[in-house]
Amino acid sequence: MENLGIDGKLLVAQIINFAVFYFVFKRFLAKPFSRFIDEEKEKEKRVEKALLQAKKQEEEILRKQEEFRTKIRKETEEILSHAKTSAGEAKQEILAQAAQEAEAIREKTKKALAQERHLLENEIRKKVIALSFFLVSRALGDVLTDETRKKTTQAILKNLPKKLTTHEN
Amino acid sequence: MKIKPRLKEELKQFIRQKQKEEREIAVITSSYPLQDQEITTLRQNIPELKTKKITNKIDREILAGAVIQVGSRVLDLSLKNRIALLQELAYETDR
Repeated sequence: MENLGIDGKLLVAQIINFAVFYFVFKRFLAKPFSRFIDEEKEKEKRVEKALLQAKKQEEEILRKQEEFRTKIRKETEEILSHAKTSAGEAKQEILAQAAQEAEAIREKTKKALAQERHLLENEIRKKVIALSFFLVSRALGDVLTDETRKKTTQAILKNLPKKLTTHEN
Repeated sequence: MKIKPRLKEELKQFIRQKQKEEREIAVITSSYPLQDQEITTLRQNIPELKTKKITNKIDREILAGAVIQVGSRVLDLSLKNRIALLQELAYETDR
């Protein structure tokens, strides 16, 4: 043993030292230490549990948030669709009314134009008649000889009606 | 304007006299001087002329026939009037 460099006494002393240390440790340190480790483990478990719960809650919140978003989106789409339909109907109504009014205006204008045309035609007709008779009178004034005038007068006097009516001048 | 009553009365009398004279005269307007026969025909056909003094006026504008005026009353037998009546008829017919 001495050749190997191992001191017997030192070894025994070390062993005794270790044993004392082990005894002291076991008696005085092991339990609190082990309790401490257990407590720490317990704490860790609690923290893990709390974390898990928090995670679950977070997921729940996210899920509800998503649900709410979906609901909002759906309602918004419904409202938009309804608004589009209403706007479309209103547009159709306005267009129909405008078409009706345009038609009424067109008819009114047509009637007014026809009336105007009729009045104008009458006016022209009257003027043509007046001009024709004026030309006839003037022509007769130039063309009628005294002899013709006499004959015409005699014919008028010959064919006088039975009842003659005078008028106030 | 105030008119003296005497002047007013004389004016009234004058106007009455004039109207009376006018009522006694019949004016026949023709396009040429009428012959006695024609005037007689007129007297026969228009009783009003029988007692009236007839004056013949010449107006070539009436073309032919005669216009008889007694006072304010007129009987238009002229060709011009007939043409005018025809013109009125043309207006009515053409509408």
